[in-house]
Amino acid sequence: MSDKLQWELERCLANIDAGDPLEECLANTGAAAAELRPLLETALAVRHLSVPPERDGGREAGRRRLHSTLLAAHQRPAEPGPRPFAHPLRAAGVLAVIGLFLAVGFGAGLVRFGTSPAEPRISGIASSVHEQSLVVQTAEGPVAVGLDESTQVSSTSTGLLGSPQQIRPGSSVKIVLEARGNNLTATQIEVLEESEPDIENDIPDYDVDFTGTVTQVGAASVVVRAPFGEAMVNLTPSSQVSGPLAPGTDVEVHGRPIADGSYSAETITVLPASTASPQAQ
Amino acid sequence: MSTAQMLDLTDEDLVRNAKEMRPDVWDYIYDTFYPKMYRYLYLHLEDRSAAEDLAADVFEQAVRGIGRFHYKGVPLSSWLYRIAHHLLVDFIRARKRAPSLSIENIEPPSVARFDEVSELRHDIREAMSKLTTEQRQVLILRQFEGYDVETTGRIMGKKDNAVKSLHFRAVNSLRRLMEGKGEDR
Repeated sequence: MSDKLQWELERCLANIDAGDPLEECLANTGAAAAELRPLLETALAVRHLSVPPERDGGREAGRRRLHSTLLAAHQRPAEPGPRPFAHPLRAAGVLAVIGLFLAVGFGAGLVRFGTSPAEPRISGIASSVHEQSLVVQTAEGPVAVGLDESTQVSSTSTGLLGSPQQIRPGSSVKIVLEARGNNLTATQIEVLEESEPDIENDIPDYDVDFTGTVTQVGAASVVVRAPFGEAMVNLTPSSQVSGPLAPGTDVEVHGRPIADGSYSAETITVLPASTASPQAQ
Repeated sequence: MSTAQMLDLTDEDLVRNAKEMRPDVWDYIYDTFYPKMYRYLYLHLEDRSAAEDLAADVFEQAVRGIGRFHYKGVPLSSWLYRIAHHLLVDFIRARKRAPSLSIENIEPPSVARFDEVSELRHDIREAMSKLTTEQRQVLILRQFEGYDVETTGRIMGKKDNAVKSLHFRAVNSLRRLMEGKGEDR
């Protein structure tokens, strides 16, 4: 009997999911209806459970931990599936890769340590800035560093900046990190004069992302007011735009920085109203 | 890569990009799946702070373990749910070994909350807390998250028939517990 009930329960739940009323499902189950009704009602009652919304900052705190884990993963060879030292040749290969990583990383100054090994430093190009993290393109690939209220941002050209969100994507940066528990957070970010060759030379092609509000629309470009200031975004034949662009439209720009300080758009995604980052200026 | 481009990625592409430890890809994974992990963990634990912490743990473990994840058609979400469940089981075991109440974990009562939570919800929660972890898991995945038998099976590492059987037993146990509650009243 329980096999039949189990089968009927599955069938009725599937029909209810497809839009059938409960009574109609029960009507087709004959003598089993009396036993089935309380089971169905119980199963459906679970759907009425509610979950309180996440607390303010809870998700962002988790994101910061995620970024720190990513950063740590970048700073050590990826966890391999099979044990790397199970075979002598494999062990030699792994050691050679670690040696090369350290030689290149330290030799090029991309990874180095101050007086304390708990304070690593990295250099690269800031490619996107989030509320609590910053993505930096380095010769080893993109890495994310945590940001918090104590992160100091300075510019070699303009002095102290108010917040990391004022860093223009595509800028060269040097960052001092601090280990806090399991997290690595940027304590100091120095935004360098544009085009510092010692940083830019070894970095592979990279993209930048930012959000902002369209202020002007031209035939082949738009101006976007972003947290770091005004950005000229050039449209090319391959640019993909998800909707009509007009002054006041919130957009997410994904593209490449150009030497003149403007950007070449790969995609411009029109965002629902009020989802672009708060404007810093 | 923009959010619009991420939306076009298959799970296999997403996993491949995630293995490259790309922060933009992981941000997308995090934003897409964090709410599901949080809901799943909250419904087991009824503790917002613990659910948030464990939800974040899921993604830390995922970053550490993505190198060992071989895409064979199992959705990324199923893998994340499995990580969440392992963390959950560990957490519950640890809590049983050292039961303690942290003041910050106690939700302050509020008129709004009390009004919002119906008697039925209260009874379901109370009854569900008495189910086995597996029974609670199958009910949450199938009835609250709306996953079908196949997806639930992937997440739980069970065959379809085993999921159906477990689901039936879970519903039956819940009904008995709720009926008992009604008789007590």
